[in-house]
Amino acid sequence: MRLLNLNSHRGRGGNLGDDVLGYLDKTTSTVSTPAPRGRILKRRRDDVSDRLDFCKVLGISLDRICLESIRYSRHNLPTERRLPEEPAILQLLPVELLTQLEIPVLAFQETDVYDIHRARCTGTHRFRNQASRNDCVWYRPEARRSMMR
Amino acid sequence: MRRLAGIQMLSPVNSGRPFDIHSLVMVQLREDAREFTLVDIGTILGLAHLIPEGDRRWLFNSRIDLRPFNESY
Repeated sequence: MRLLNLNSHRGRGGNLGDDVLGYLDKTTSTVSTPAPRGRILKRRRDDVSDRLDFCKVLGISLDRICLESIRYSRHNLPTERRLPEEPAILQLLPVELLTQLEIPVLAFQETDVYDIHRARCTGTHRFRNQASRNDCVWYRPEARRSMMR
Repeated sequence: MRRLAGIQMLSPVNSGRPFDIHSLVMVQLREDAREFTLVDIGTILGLAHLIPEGDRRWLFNSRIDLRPFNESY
């Protein structure tokens, strides 16, 4: 998932309400942060532009997505850049849904050669006319290592 | 712009010790696991290969060579 800044959204012809635009003007910059550690998100879905679309595609309730967005915002964003916690505004903030993440992984016994792992997540949708595909990956929070899918 | 991933966390069974019968670690989806957790994509380290083993449980396949798996699948 990628949260769009205001300029990106305007460039795609987006049309938002004044309260949402006010929030975006306060909290977004015109410069995108670089992808962390060479990770690249790909394969954008064109039918997702906000959290309402997002929950339809992934089959997750809107309440759950809003609650998790707020939790992420409180734990990871500085106070001045946190997401609004009013559901009406939060639901309408622009998002993109991308279904592939490319992860550079150091090759075995190499110090400067990387394999690219392609993790895909199609939610409830089919992948290449087969079953849906939701890959398992290793995830490392700040202090400990866990597994997730 | 924030680049995030939605994940569902699994926990190791038997404190992460491999089972004698196959020498593999088992992981499970806990009853109290959150359905959806947002994390930064920078915290994702790479692909893992899991083999279904009963209801809400998987074996972590530590023997697979992920390079051909990643290229062919």
